[in-house]
Amino acid sequence: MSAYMTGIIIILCLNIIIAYSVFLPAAAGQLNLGAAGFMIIGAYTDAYLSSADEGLGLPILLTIPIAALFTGLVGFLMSFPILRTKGVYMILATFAFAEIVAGIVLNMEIVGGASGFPVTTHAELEVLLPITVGVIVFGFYLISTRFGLSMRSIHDDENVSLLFGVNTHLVKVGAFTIGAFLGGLAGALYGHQFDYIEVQNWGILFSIYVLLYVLIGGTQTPWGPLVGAMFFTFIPEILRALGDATGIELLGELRFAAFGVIIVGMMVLRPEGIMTRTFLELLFRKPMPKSDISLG
Amino acid sequence: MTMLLNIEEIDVRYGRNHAVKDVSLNIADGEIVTVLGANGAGKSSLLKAIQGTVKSTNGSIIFKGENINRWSAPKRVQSGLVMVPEGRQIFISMTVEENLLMGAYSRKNVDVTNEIETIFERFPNLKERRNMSAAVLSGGEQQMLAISRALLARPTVIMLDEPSLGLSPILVKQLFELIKEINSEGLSILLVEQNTHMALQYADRGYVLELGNIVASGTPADLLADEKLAKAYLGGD
Repeated sequence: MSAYMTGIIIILCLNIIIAYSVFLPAAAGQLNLGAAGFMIIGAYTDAYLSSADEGLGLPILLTIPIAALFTGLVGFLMSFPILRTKGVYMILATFAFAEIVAGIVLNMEIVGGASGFPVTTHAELEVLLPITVGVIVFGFYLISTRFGLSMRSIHDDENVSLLFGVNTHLVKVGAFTIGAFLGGLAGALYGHQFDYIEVQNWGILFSIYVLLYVLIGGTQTPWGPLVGAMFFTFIPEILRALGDATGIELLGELRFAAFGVIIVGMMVLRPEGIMTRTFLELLFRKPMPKSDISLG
Repeated sequence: MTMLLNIEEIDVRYGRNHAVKDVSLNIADGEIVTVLGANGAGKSSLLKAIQGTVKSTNGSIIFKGENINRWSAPKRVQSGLVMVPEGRQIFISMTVEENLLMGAYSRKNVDVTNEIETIFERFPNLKERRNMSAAVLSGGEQQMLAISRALLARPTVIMLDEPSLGLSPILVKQLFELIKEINSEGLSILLVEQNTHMALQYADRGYVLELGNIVASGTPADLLADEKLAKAYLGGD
């Protein structure tokens, strides 16, 4: 495998994990623009614990889970103020959270402040790939459980869910916390791939992109974040390759503009995302008979 | 006659708005009781107070001999008091089968496969679409899904809030036949309706609510015999 291909797959894996971290709360109706914040917490916690020179030099098999759990704990605590908000206000609250995290870390001299922090332990795909597969399996599994069912019922109608006995508050806090955990996991893994972290990597644009992976991929099924992350990782590269091959400037140098056009087109044509339930039925099942009206 | 559900002098207030005033109402085991009234008469507020999603301030709600005033809505569902909310409110991004599973959510660790199959025998349309998103169902199918979902919660009293809303006349007829059928299987029914003619045709007793007060009650024959009432609410002349 070429170094280019390896690089793409590394980015794809990280994008998939962070996509699931935003998808799981989204499946419970939460719009989260704080992916950057969780990734920063996970990345810096892991880097500080694992780095040999400036950190504690602990083994990464220990530091990655600790970083993810710690981020999950922060998410759990933050869920109480954040879950008081809904919809657009929740987007603003999670965005504010990410900005606060960035502001704090930028001013923490112990982790290098604005000049970033080196990560001395490099891990190859053999670490990243199994964890990514694990996260995908976990995402599919969680959605299929009783907990997943209650998450989706809250997404559709919180009041009726409560009526049928769902502990809506507990489920919402749980979904948010799991999202934070996966965000921290993605952050911790990032450091070991690129050997260096800095807060500037994770700005508002990053959080917007991750939310787009999920919205474009679709929030109805656990296929959504997988397809969304692949779409966002591969399309710019495909456009680059097409640009090189054809010499069309729009596809090459202006590929991000072309990409933007594709995103807007997707939003117009498929507002529910690429992977909808109906689309999955088309792929996996026989066509259903047409609806006629009768009470049976 | 033993009363299954006994509502005594309850009030519902939204701030200054006094939606339900001193309302008493009861349902005997196996009865179909209807609550009639114009828009804004307090019918839905009354149902919500019984279900527990809105707090009643005075009086008491006695269900199966227990005062359930302080019970949460989910606890009332578990004890057998189940509402089919106005406008169906099914979970539209979930499949038909998942909607039914949600109905049984409060009955933890119970295998409801057989009960779901029984529902599907009754409604072949739902069976055909069991794995499809509930959003593709027609209005009539959504209503039968909402009722089936409530049945899976194992109710003793099922409360229906304007079930005929938005259904064509033939579907309304089928809906009331279904309500009668469920009732004959032993369920008591509290039916809030604007379609007074149909409701009185199927109910054992009725109450008329006006601006939060009960202004009349009795058998359908009694209510239809009252000329003033017939004129104001029942479309008579």
